[in-house]
Amino acid sequence: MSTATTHDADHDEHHAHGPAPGLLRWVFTTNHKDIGTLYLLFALVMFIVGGAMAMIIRLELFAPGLQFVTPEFFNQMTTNHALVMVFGAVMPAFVGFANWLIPMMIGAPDMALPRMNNWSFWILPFAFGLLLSTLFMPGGAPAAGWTIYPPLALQAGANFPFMIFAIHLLGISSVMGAINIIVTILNMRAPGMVLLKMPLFVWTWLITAFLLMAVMPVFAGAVTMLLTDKFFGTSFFNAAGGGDPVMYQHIFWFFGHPEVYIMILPAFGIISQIIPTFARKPLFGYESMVYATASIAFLSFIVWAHHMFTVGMPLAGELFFMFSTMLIAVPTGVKVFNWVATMWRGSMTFETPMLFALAFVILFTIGGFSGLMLAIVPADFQYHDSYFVVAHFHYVLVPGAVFGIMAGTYFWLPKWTGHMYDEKLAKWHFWLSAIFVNVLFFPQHFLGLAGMPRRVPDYALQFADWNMVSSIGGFGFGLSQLLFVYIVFKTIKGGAKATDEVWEGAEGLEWTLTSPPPYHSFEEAPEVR
Amino acid sequence: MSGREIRGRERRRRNARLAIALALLAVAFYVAIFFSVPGGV
Repeated sequence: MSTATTHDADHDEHHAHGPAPGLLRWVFTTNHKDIGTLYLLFALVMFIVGGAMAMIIRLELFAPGLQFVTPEFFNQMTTNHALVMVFGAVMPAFVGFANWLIPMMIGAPDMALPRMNNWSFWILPFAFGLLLSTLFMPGGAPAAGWTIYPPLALQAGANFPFMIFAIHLLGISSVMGAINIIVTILNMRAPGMVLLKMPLFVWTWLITAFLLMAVMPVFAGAVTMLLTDKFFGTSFFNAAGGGDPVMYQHIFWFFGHPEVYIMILPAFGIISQIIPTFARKPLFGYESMVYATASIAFLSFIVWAHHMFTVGMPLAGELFFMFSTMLIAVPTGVKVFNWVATMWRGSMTFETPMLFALAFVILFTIGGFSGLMLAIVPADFQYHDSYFVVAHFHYVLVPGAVFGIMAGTYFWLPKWTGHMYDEKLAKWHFWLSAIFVNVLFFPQHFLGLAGMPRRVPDYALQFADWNMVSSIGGFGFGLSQLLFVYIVFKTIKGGAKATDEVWEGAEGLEWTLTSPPPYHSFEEAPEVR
Repeated sequence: MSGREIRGRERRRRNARLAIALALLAVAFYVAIFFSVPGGV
């Protein structure tokens, strides 16, 4: 009798935890796959919102003169485009990937702290509700740039506390997400899954989570000080009260530079999963990839002042930050070399994830090289605050981070949904994106070198031609992404049935599960050899 | 931790301990930054 009772209890424990019916499933879910889906959908919505802002920017810059928006509104668009894309689109997209994939890759049943996982996500819509509500306030949204430099940022109106509290909420969400990822990876691995057997995506996220832990509180502290400077009479950054506005720049970039790597390291991880699959070879130099990632993370803490060479620093400081910045090229070069060496003599095929991965390797490297140019102090005195900088960081973030997200989406979408995406349409999406992203951003190098400043709604006549080309590229790139949205929803709704392995060369625990995977991935820990 | 399987309460306790330690570290970073500003706190 007692055996039967025990059996029933076991039965309940194993089978009574399917998804709750209706919309409440998504509100109260603690399931890593559901939360991963929420993050990814939220990121997609934010891509569209941030993308719409980019379209307004490129529309205004299509021709010289003021045509469509006021300079004040233009500044609001540049500021919020950056905040939305960085904190609303790229970061949540990678957290979505982490939620979906890390437990499946390390053989865990779920994330270590599922309730906190729910909180981490549901804070985000409220944070962006606060931030985007400022667009409808008298005086409009924040307009001093995403860097929020005082004293300019302190001249903002009613939007200021909304933005600061939104950033606090985003920071809390990110830190909670990072804690969850670290605890999951360190405590929840299946027997036999030693650290140096983990897939590279898991490694890059472990290191990224430590970066988040270290720098999000710093940013939160900096904006808290801005808040007290504005409303409570402190003088942290107010020169009239004995404070130092340049100190803010140091603190901001101590956060801001590791933040750049927070947005690119998970993309490195995704690319490192995709290239071996479609080259049908193991990743070349696995351990060196891990050490290169850790080196990049360490160096990211000692390069911050290269963002502010022109602020007036001692020569020794400028030399230190110049050389430390150049040093990052070494581990990054190791990564690029390893990706190329993985492909060398591989049996390569060129499905859409591989196409995006290849474009990533080539175009991210262009962004890396222009970064090296910017690292040279005397050259940076010319490039600083010009469109060359805009071209540089967009090459790193769009065909870098965003192409990484696209590649990963096409790679794992069949696993997530159980359906194959439309390969023909996806290839159209790739080629349109790859062509237009270069039409959009490459001319911005020329504009910057010719002297066009960034963050301006109007410009001198000699910059007209390349701005028009760049805007055409922008509209083309923006429209191409509607195709991506269509392909994703079409795949969710149906399509050819995906096999469990999905890709011929796929390796890793996630491919041993069914497509789509069961609601609870590994009831029993898998054996890792 | 890999190498042996840990289930139930023991695993939850280990997870909570590590999570609390990391959260305290994050709070420490937040507080420390106020002391890094000359003339600040």
